[in-house]
Formats: sequence, structure tokens, C-alpha cells
Amino acid sequence: MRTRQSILIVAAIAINIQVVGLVSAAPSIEGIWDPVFAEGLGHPQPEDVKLTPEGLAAYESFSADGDPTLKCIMPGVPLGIYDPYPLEIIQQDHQIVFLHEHFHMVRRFFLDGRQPPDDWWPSLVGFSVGSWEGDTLVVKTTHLSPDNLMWHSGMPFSGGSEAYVVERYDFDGDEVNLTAEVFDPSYYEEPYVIRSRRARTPNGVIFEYECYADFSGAQ
Amino acid sequence: MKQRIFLSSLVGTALLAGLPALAHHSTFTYFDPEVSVEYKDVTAVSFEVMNPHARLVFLVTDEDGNAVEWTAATQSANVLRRMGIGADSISPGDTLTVTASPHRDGLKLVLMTKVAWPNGDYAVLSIGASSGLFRAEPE
Repeated sequence: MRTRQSILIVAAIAINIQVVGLVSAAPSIEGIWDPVFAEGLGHPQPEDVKLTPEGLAAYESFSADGDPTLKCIMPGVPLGIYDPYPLEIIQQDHQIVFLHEHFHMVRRFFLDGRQPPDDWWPSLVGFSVGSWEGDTLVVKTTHLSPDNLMWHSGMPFSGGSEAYVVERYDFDGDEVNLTAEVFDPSYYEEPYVIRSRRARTPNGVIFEYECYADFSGAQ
Repeated sequence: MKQRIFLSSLVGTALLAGLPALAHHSTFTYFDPEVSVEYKDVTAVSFEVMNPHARLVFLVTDEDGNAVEWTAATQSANVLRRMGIGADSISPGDTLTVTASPHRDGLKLVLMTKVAWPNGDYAVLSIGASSGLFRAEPE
């Protein structure tokens, strides 16, 4: 009797572990994800954006020279968070890699708990740390460059040390919805929110994206 | 600020809502999306399919009968490729009808939004549901 109880207890513990394991497992997100165009996605309407006086001044003085993509430089973060090209996701235990077709941009989201070194320099893609909350991948990106834009229309990005981005990718099978909040308090009175959606495409392909600067005047 | 708000909403909303929009780089800083000009029966000089914007050079006959060279920027090579448009889709000497937004400074440089071939084929050069290469019905 005691043996049978022991077996049952062990079995119960095993099942429990299995269930916990299933619950905490990250979804499989590898593959090529194409953009989905739909109402309500994208960047906010300008009238809904609350710029600080400093942000408004940057907006008013915008020049297309401030758009890295017209110089064939990758858009980085936050500018490249949304793009209308396919994205390939590589999923590893210690990191998730986003391989964008657009400008060959590569982003790494570290899942192993590492933090940016003290001397990590600002860059267009910054330093990204990820974690899973159920089926939602949460990514926080810091160390971003001031040589960037929020959006091509001239919405500015300060790249200040206090600026950072939190992206939440809600995966649901072959669909993912992104809500990205850009915290840039010197230019924006409240977080700037970008939304997008992608669908996993079994036969999707990633093309090369070589680039030649053109009418921007950037040679 | 007013003008910039309009441009921003056009680029940001149209692109992401699947409405007709041009390349999403800062193109509207250079070109006026509110104006559309049709250049009928122009002659292609060259067509370079590249990123971030493909480039068509074409000849327009002016009022004095002179052939004047214009340049049209348009969608990226990758967007065109997915539409089925490649470098061999337009050859030197081809007769085309080009629809484009003019340059804000009056340069002979425009942003092509549509191109049509004499056989009735045409391409809507945007990103989203309405874009693509449309073949004429066979007679």
C-alpha cells in the first residue's frame, strides 16, 4: 500500500513537472514572417503625438539627411522596428536573432540574463535583452544611437542615455502582433507607440538588399 | 508643422494600413504626393532595378519638339521583384506612360507611382494591397 502511494506521489510530481514545463516553454517562432497590412497598425497620427518643446524643435528642423536609409545605412531602432519586408527569426536557447531583409539589419535579443557591459557604446540596434512572458516575447533595448529617427516623416529620436524601447511580441501560432513603446522623455511627453503584425509564411523567402544611395544627395 | 503633419500621416498611415503608399523612406521630403503628373508615350533610356529605389531614365518631348531627359525614382528592387518586375521589364527604346509625383524644387526628377506598357500591362508602384503588376486581358 505504501509502495503504491509512493508511486502515485512520484507520478503526480512527474506530471506536475511536465505541466509546469509545458506552461513555461517558449513557443516555436522560427521561420520567415511576412508583414501584414491592416487598419490600426503602424505609427501614431502626428496629432496624437505629444512632443516636448525640444522634440518639436527637432521635428521642425528635420532634414531628410537625418534619414539613415537614404544613405543606405540600416534603419536601426526605433526606425527599423516597423518595415514592410520579410523577417527571418532564428531561435536559440541563449538568444533570438531577427534577420531583417530590409538593409540586412540583424538584431540579437539575449535571453541568458546577460546585461550590457559598462562600456557598451551606443549603436543603431543598441543592446537588447529579451524574456518570455507566456507566449509574449518582451524585449528591452538600450544604448541607442542619436543618429536615427523615430519615423521617416521626421519624427525625431534623441538617442539620449535615458531613451529605451520595450517591444512586446505576442505570438499566436503563425501570427504575431507587436506593440513597441519608445521611451524618449527629452523629445516625447509620453511613450511613442508603434504597432505591427506579421504572419509566418512557410514558403517565404529573404532577398538580398544591396543598396545604392540615390536622390537623397548622399553619395 | 501643418504640412509636415500631412506628410507624416500619409506615409505612416497609408503604408501601414495597406493603402497606396510609396517607398517609406523620406521620399515625400523631395516629392509632392498631392500632385500626380502623367507623361504619355515617353521613351525609356535606362531602367536600373536597385534598392532603396529603382530608377527609370526617360525622354519627354517638350513643346519645342526637343527630347528632354527625365529621371523617375520608384519602389525598391525587392518590392519590384516580388511584383514580378525586373531589369528586363523595361528596355531602352520602350514606349511607356509614366505617372509620377513631381519634385518639390521643380527638378526633372520625379517619383513614379505607375507605369503602363503599350500592350495594356501596367504596374501600380506602391506597398500594400493595391500594388502590383497587372497584365492586360489577352485579345
